[in-house]
Amino acid sequence: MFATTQRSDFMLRLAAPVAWRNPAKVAAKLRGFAATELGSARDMLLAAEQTSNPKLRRLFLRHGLDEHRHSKMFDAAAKRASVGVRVRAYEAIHAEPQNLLERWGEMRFVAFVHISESKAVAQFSVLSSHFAGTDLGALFDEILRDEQFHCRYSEHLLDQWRAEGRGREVDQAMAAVKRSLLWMAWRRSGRRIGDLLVTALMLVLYTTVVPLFALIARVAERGDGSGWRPAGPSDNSACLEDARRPL
Amino acid sequence: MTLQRPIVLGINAYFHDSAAALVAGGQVIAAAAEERFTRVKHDSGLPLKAVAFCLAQAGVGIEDVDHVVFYEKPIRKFERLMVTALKAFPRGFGQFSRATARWLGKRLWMEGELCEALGAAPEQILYSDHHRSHAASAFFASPFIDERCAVVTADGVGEWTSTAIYSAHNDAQGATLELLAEQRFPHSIGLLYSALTAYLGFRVNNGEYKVMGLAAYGEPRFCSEFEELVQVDDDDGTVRLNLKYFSHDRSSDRAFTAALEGLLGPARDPADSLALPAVSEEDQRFADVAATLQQICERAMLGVARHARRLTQASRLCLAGGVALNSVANTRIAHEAGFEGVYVHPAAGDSGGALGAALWATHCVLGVPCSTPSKSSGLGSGFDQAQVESMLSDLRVRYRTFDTDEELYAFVAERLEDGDVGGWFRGRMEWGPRALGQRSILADPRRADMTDRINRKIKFREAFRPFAPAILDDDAGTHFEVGAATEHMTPHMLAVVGVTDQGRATFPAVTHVDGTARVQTVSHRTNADFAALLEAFKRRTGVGCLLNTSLNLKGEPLCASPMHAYATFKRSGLDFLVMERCLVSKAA
Repeated sequence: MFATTQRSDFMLRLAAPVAWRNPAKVAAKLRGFAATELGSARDMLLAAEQTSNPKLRRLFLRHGLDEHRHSKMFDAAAKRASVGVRVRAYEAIHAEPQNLLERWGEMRFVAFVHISESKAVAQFSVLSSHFAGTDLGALFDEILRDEQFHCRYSEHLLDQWRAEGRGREVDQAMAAVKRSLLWMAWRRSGRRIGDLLVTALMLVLYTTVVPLFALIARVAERGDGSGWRPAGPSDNSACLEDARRPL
Repeated sequence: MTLQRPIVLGINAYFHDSAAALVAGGQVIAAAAEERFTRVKHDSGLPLKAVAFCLAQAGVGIEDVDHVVFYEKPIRKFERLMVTALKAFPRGFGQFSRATARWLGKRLWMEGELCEALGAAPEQILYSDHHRSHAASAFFASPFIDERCAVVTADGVGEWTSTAIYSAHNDAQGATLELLAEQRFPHSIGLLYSALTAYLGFRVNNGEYKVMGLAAYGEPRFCSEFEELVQVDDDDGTVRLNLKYFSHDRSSDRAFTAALEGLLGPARDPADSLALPAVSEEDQRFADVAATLQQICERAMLGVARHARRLTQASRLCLAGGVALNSVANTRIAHEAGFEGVYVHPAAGDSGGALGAALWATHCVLGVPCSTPSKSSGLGSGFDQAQVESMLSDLRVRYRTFDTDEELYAFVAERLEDGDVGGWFRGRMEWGPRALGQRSILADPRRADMTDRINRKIKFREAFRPFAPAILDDDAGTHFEVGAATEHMTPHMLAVVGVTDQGRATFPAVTHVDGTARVQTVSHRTNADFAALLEAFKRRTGVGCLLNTSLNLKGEPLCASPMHAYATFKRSGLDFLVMERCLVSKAA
């Protein structure tokens, strides 16, 4: 475990100067962090709502509020880093809800929180050193302290369950989360590869098959299509059979 | 609860503002947007949480539902995307590639996904039509269901239609919703508004209402440039876009072309802040573009409404579709289009399509008589006192419980009078984008500094954005230019009206820079709890009016649960939060 962490830190340190090499990259990275934190905030607040355990509810709420604050901090830092970098289209902070507590149950969810926060601690430690003495360094420092707390409380919860004689369940939950993370990483890569393949396939289609249909579409086009059109005979059908058709 | 049949579940998904609604025996049981549960603003996914809420509210399972109605015809929409991409050849590769992959990969097999995710059977699934769903949402919830009505729907685009005129009729024999005429994509007042929303640096399908607020700071001095951009026939509202300025036929990311920047000047960088009233020429230019756009939108919608009057000969009008959330245009229609009454559905945007689809299937397809207007507000989730107390206790939050509602109203009125700003979370959540006194942030509208305080320190949003007043309907006429023309719109905050001299002097915090306000009139008959609070405030101050804005922070959906409300309270500068009869204070 120690050797793996050391190796991962080393890779992060090696990658940092490249990944954060100019203001545009810095802004994009910070926006990405803001999105991740926002997604995490939503999941933690949802978990706080769903759990029936008062202690977990308090911890998840605090965690969710921390993540919301981090998201705002990253977003504000991204805006500061974007000065002079023109944003052509509105790039919304976007994060999909994962609804993990409902899907996985409490123990596996806490295991997930622990593993994710441990990774965040490693990453922000490296970035805090990389940006030491700057505003960004201070930002990562501040967030790092919260992430360390998240790491500690989740570890404490797992330890408590172990002390209650549920060590085997905890180990299984940790293993299941690690498998899930690997699976998610594989799916992300697979999606990227799939996107590339689809784009290539579409390009072939677009240059070979589509021109003929494009020509037909243009020939069939009459006028610019503006103005009022009267309703067609099938537009006002309200019979059940027509309502069953998606066309 | 024993429900009447048929039980119909309406669904809107896969575009923006996904939602679900449940209608049983013609009565609306529940309706909610998915964003309220997932916390993703304008969530476009399958509304599984909204469906779960609707079924739970009705106390039924999916197997009890007679029909699940999707709000549009998906294959017709796919056809439009493909034809558009073909016509744009060879510039439409991006749109073609994305649409084909998305549709072939998922959306064309929507019926299977609906059945799998909801546990429904294929024979349960029905399809409405995008604009028909909008039209049904407006007509069946309107107070005009006993009369022949004109119904106008306008938004960006549905399957092909961008603007439609219907004739609606309902009697003991059944209801009909007859499409009379339509304008089609790409000529669309909604798409024009969206493209200019993007040009002004706001997010499409999200920032349109900000553009409306921005317009008040400008003068419509870009009329000649807009003549080049769009031709509007004032007589019938025909809109003809000059497509060289728009790119919705070839891009799903960027709504306008470089030519638009050549015509109107550089687009606003979304990262830049807007200082209004303008301190820079650039900011004033953006406000002027917004003002010109607003004027064009009003001309077009007024023309459409007049055309609808001619086609239908009806004296009543119902409005829905995203453009019907333009409250300034709504007011002009109410005053100038020649109708005796105008109604706008509270969820006029796409979320309302879920309810409309269910109502259309119930009344028009299945033939269930419609004897009273469908309920159209307060259709969302609600929590009882015990649930709130349990959550607060779990969180070890200090709170005060009031024995009676009257004590609560008196206490809250006193704190608001003292200048505090409070969250108000009571009853069932609103249907539609406006907070109407169930999930609201409330403040004293007599304090001029309140607008700035709430924008900056409580909601963290743009300083130029106005706040709305909520006022007892009996008192509204003294302070606001309300009357018969707008009486069916103001209860849902869907009309912008003039503020009288007395109103401007009394309520500076809710009077916009152009001397108007998007007023909400509150009656004891339809919104008793909120009206009672306004009465309590009136007893202390002499005015039954409060500043009312949505209980959320910038960029977030309205709070749906006590946990959302409490988290919002913790992250904002709110002084106190009321949830049912519990009060949490920052000072406590």
